[in-house]
Amino acid sequence: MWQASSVATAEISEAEALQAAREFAAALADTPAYQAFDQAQIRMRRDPAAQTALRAFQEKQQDLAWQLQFGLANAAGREDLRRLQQAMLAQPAMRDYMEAQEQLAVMCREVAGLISEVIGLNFAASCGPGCC
Amino acid sequence: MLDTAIEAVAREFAMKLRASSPVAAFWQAQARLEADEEAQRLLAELQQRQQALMLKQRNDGSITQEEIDALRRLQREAQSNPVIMAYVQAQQQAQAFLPAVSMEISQLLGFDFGGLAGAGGC
Repeated sequence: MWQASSVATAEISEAEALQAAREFAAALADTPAYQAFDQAQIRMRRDPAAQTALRAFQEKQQDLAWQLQFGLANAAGREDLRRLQQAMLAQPAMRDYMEAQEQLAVMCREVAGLISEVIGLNFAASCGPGCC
Repeated sequence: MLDTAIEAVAREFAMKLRASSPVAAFWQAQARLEADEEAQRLLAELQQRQQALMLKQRNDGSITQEEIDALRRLQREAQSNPVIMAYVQAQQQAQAFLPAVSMEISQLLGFDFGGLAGAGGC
């Protein structure tokens, strides 16, 4: 009687699994979602207006972070930050980038979900550096 | 809905990951756990005892010290059961390998794959 287990993939080493991960990453890089994200990121980084708005927002963010440490942050500062964030997000190049990033995230979530299903472990729960 | 091309590639990769030594070891430990009568009995009793106490506490808030002690004894029994412990350890080891895999993908792509794919919380 034919059994699924008899054609199961032979066990591979961690190193081989990591190599498979690199090959998989290369395939992800070929997807429309990744290509669109990559392009949108390049355009955003080269767009003077978007970069100006981004820098203004980031500087304000840093200012507030400092003030927060000394208990000096106030409502006016926070309102300024919100205004600068809106101005940044209103930049077409920035908006396109955020949308492309969201589409990429959707694909990554679906891919991670599929992997989790197959391996019987939570692949997406693996938090690397920069998580949270 | 995933594009069929990337879905097929993802499945192929997932199967290789499934065959990697830490993940394969986890599946073996899981199979042994499911086949072990004593371990299954322990886990079933533990679950039933925990649920009963939770219900009791919710209804009239009266759990006796005796009941707590009995639950703790059961937990210790489960913790010293070799098949259960082997499963827990295998799961931890497999789970500990996954971030390295995710990072490998992130490094090649130049963005945090795990971060983007994660549910947004550790």
